Amino acid sequence: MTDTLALQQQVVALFAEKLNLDVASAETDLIETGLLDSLALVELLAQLEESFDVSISTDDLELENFRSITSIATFVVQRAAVGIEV
Amino acid sequence: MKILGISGLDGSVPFKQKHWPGLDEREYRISQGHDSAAALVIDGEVIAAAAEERFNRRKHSGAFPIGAINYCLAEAGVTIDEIDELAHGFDYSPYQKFYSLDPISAQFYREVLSKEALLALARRDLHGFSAERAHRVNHHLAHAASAYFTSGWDECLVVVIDGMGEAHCVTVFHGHDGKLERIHQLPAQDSIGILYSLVTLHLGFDFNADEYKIMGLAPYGDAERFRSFFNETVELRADGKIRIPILRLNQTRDERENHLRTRRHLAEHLVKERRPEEEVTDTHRDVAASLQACLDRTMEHLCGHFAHKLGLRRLAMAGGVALNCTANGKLLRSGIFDDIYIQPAAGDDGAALGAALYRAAQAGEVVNRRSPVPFYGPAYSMAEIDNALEQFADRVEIMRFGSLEDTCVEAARLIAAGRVIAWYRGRMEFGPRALGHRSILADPGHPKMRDRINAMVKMREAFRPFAPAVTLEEVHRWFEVEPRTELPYMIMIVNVREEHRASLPAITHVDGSARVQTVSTADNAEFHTLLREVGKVTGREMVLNTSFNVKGQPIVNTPREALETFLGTGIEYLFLENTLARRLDR
Repeated sequence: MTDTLALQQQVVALFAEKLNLDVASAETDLIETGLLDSLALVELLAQLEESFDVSISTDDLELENFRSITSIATFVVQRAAVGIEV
Repeated sequence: MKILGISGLDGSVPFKQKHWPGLDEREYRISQGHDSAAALVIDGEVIAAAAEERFNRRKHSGAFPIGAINYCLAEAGVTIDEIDELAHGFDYSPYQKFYSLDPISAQFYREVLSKEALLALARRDLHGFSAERAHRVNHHLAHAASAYFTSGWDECLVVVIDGMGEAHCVTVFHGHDGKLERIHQLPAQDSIGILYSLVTLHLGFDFNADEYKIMGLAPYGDAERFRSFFNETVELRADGKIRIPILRLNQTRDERENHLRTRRHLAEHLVKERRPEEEVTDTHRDVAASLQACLDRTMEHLCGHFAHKLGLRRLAMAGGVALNCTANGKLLRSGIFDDIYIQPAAGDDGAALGAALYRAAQAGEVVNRRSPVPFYGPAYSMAEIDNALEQFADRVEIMRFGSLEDTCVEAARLIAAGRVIAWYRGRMEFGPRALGHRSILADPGHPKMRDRINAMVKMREAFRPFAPAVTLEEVHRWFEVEPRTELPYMIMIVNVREEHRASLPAITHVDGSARVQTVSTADNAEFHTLLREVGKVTGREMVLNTSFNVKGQPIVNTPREALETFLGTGIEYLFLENTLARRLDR
């Protein structure tokens, strides 16, 4: 739990600093609000991979994981726990 | 293997017209998949290549390149059934889920970007073509292959820089051992190419079409005036990255589609939007100058970083931004590289060639040799030319010469006498430049020549200079380069020697620069013969070489188009191979 919250802060920072996206809250629906479009999502994945040393294949991409900052943080924690994919 | 490469995204512009019906006409060019083309590579050799616009006569057309495909097949004497692979220079398949984020994007993916969309076009236009023969090549990989596999170098830095491919604006590769190893890529949101295009649009010109006009306008302006705006706008990071935050201002689907907030930012912080019919002022010239200087800096930063990181002193480039000859010339003179090669069809037409070469390389068939002057398009027989001449018999009188030499003697005489001649022979060029087969030629030393050609032929913006073609033997005499410096593709800016600038007014830009084409017996024999003859009469083995077309028209393809275009302008003489057509209404 603590892992996810800490990561959440980092993801908020990543959105603000790396993607230039101002997100109102950790629960804001990124897809409905249009904050996350195709290009932003491509870049988000690249940034997540770089910042958190995880590997995210486009094949098993589930959009629901990117619905909000909370869900992104949860997703990254799970990914990191699983380990780096080859 | 027989591999047919293609580029372009048919349906891209119609989709935008349907879903965003109320836009300004110029805004529809803010879309992907223009400049479609076809290229045929057989057993690793380039047999034919041509842009579709030359066949359907719509400049920058992104339509499925059936005209170009049919030409390529005819040139090789093969049918579509004998083609082993169709290779498309776009591959959006990794991005399907990304496009499902909103319904319009999802529809766009289905109708324009998907493999199914490609196959539907193949079924429509290439009867009997089977799906398993269709392959897709990542856009930047196609551009990279077009440069690396025609560089003649086993090892070099390969930089692809364009508006954007599927999702990126820059990709850096290390080309070695016949492979392209991807080193780095930058996301489309930090695209210097898109920024340049948006400023082009904002200044009243056409997005993804007129950037070279802004490049031509730049030397008239003061680059210092808006330097701080561009320094802030384009951040050059220590790790070779580029950041352009204003490209991320757009939040809604509509804003992103047309970069609305970015353009509003330009209006508020740079310069008011210029409508096409408005006058071009000093402010616009200064913006162009500052923008160009920003691009020059950015290219140097990006290419320099990776050159040093990888210890490479050879650079091969492709992608639409590599058509910016000014930045290319600055990069060459920076000393970062010993040599720079830019694939002459650096724009999306070249992605067709790259897609085919990439697949050929995968099959182990490519022989990496420096690209010849790209005369890859159709030539027409004397029978076809005579047939066209007959149709205009009441408007022209004909003189036939027995040899190339005799033709060149007459052409040189006319050029030296201050006449403008259209010069049509051999296979049509692939890529945007006319290099001596579909050209309009004149004496570069004639003081009024630039205005004459602008008025007579092209109705171009007055500020745009023309470009010189010169023999390899004489290039160092007139231009600030080492003897026998080879620049055969007209894609690099050099400086005219100071002592000659005043005597070469038609091709010397206001800052003393010129976009030179060197011509040798080895790479462009017939044109070289002409230049030698011109030299005997004028004392300079040089001509002004501009493309054979009028404003807004693609370069002429067939003899009939040559005659029609010729007669629709004020040009007096048209050479079709060794036949001279003179207009009767002189």
